[in-house]
Amino acid sequence: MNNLAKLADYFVNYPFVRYAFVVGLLIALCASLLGVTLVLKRFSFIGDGLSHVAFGAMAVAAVTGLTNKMIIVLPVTVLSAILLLRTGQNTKIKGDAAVAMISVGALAVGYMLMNVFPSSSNISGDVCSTLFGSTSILTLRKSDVALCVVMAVIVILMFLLFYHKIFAVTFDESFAQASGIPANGYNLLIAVITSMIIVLAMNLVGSLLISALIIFPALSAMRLFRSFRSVIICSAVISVICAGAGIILSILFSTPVGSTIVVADMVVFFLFSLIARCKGGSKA
Amino acid sequence: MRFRFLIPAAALLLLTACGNADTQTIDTLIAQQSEADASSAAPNSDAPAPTVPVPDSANGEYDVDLTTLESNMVYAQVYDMVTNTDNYKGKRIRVRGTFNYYQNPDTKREYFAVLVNDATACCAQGIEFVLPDSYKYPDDYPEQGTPIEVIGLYSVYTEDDQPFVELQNASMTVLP
Repeated sequence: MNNLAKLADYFVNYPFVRYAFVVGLLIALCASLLGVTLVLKRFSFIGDGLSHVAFGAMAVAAVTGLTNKMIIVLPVTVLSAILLLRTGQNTKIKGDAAVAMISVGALAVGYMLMNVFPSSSNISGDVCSTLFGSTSILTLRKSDVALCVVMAVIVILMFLLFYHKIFAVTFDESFAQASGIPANGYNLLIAVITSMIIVLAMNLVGSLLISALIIFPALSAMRLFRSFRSVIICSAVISVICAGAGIILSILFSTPVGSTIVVADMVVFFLFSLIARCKGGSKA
Repeated sequence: MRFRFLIPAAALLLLTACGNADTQTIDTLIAQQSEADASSAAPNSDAPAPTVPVPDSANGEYDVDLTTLESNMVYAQVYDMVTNTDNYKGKRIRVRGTFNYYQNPDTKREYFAVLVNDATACCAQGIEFVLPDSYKYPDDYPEQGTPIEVIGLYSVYTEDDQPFVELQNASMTVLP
């Protein structure tokens, strides 16, 4: 049986494969939309920091025995995002130092809690799955998919509705504020959406690889395109294609799903960089 | 203020990860296997391989044949089997993995399972199986970690008010 026929068979006969595609592509799309803004606002590393916060919060939720870990994970991640994105400029510990501090702190606390108060016998499996995604995208239930679809729709709608405002805040926050745009409010919106994407993406690529999902498509698109709109569209297309290709390859060749998606993103980035260089150089 | 509705909406989100299903016995087996892997010496290759007869239906008629799937698919399929139990009750299952054994120190009940790792080998899902009563541990079973193939009828039993999956009327073949 060739690979295409095998893939078709999996898609038709195994619901969890369909679920993985739906959720994977939606997460990739959402991540790419916000990725451009975060890269341009010099917050590329915030995805990594917030994902570590989410990891720490998930450990706390596991220790407390909560069935629905999102009750803790999402609010904590959103709060951290707000602190980092909105108030980071007014605090004594600024930008990258704040991200690094929260990131490694949450990671350490999370790992320590999981070891001191283990919620299952398979600690290494739980940690590995949370950090690297493992194959958790292939173990989704129908309810997970439904919620992911709802969340993705909210994220996409928010982005489309506030596209022009996000554009303004992304490029010149001071000018936007002077023009009457509530920049702080839109920074809050960006923080909330970023947190939602981070929490969603933990299922796809795991905590440690989320940054790649956010920044690689945006950086690849910036190699070849200049306008905000074209970069976002190109970034979304790259992200969705790479996520789809990564899921397919990982299913067919039994590679880890998250890493395969990230490697696909890296390949596209180098390919686009090469094309940009051949065309005479693009600045990003 | 208009952004606040996002937060309660987002709080509904649910994710899954390793070990969140009712798989306590399997979790214990996995933990024991990890300890055994770390501490045990090389397997005793002189020990005779147990011979358990392959069932009559071994010529290809299975409701779920996991031996034809890639490792990620096997892992995901086994996960589906231990979480969506109603879809598999009474079906004939064929699965390959590694043999694991656990005895509950309180009840002295013995558990035998075939474990399947995912591609990163950090997560494992397992299914318990029950051979005929004439098979006694350890004489009629391989060493833990030995690759085996198990064929049996999918069923669900309850212990301490928790549902657990097992393959009944099973047969086991030690793989080379």
